[in-house]
Amino acid sequence: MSHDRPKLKTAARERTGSKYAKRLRAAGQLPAVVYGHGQDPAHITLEAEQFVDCLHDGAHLVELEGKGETCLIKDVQYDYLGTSIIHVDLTRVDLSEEVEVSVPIVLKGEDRCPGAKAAGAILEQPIVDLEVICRADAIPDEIVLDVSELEVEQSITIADLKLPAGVRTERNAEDSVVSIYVAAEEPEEGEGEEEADSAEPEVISERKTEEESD
Amino acid sequence: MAMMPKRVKYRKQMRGRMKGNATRGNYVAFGEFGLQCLDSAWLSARQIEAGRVAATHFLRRQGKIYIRVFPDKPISKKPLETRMGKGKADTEYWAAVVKPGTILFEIAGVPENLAKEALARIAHKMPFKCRLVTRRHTV
Repeated sequence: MSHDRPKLKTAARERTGSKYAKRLRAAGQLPAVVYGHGQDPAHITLEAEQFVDCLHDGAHLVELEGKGETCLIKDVQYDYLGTSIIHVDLTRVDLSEEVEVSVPIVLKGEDRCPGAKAAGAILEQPIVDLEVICRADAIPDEIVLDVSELEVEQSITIADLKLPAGVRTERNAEDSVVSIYVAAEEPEEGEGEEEADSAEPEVISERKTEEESD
Repeated sequence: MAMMPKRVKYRKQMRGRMKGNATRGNYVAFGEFGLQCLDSAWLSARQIEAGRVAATHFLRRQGKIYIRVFPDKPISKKPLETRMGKGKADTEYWAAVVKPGTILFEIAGVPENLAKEALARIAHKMPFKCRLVTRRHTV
């Protein structure tokens, strides 16, 4: 079930704003905010390396050293290239309260899946992470989905998922999680490219003026 | 067949400026691996098509390729040996305006080594530096 909650070193952030946040990041720290439970939001800093390790381990809940609070990682902001984290949102939680988190759906038995072995068949997984609602102390690490018996043109929907006890989702039960289909053959080389390049799209503004003149 | 819009509001557009970085379309959303642009540029419909063909040919109908950019900007060009003036020239080709961070292509349903090789082949067809990226962590 859920991980041991990692303890994060924190420090209060006295000065806010992009200039000071940039200096913190350069020093290997992360600006973060803690809010929730009707208390005032607190601006804090985290150790960047420690927090990234938490994310890699798939942790959802963390404990803040010094403050003695248990928090849920609510949001993580990345830079424009997605290479580094620039800000973290943490929300205070009681372990007994219900929270909404995203949990990865992990496929099992892909090697033995008969449908995926068919010529031209593609196993598609439109939903990679599922938003679930559960108690904070019972957040599942992942939802394992067995696809070893999935045939071509078959799909597994949200309704077919076996969620752990106490875990529910509000997604549409008919949404497809995994499906196998045979892809229509795509043209490898651009046929009739010359014609396509010379063709022009319809211009809406011209059509309107023609209608008005009529 | 090269991509272009079916309908447009105006036949020609001003060139514009490519300032800043991508703030949308800058993470892997559909596949498992993606190709991220590191420069700003006009990416022509032919270049997008060349990338798609290179990856499709390499993957031989395995997996699924997502194209995350669409060439919706008409680029005009005066014919050779034409004097200046006489109005804006006709549309020569269609291009997508990409900024640093934009995800151009995504691949799903193939092993990592195949996806990396396919994206590397696409990167060779691109007129700027690109890099391979993977899906972000779930929070």
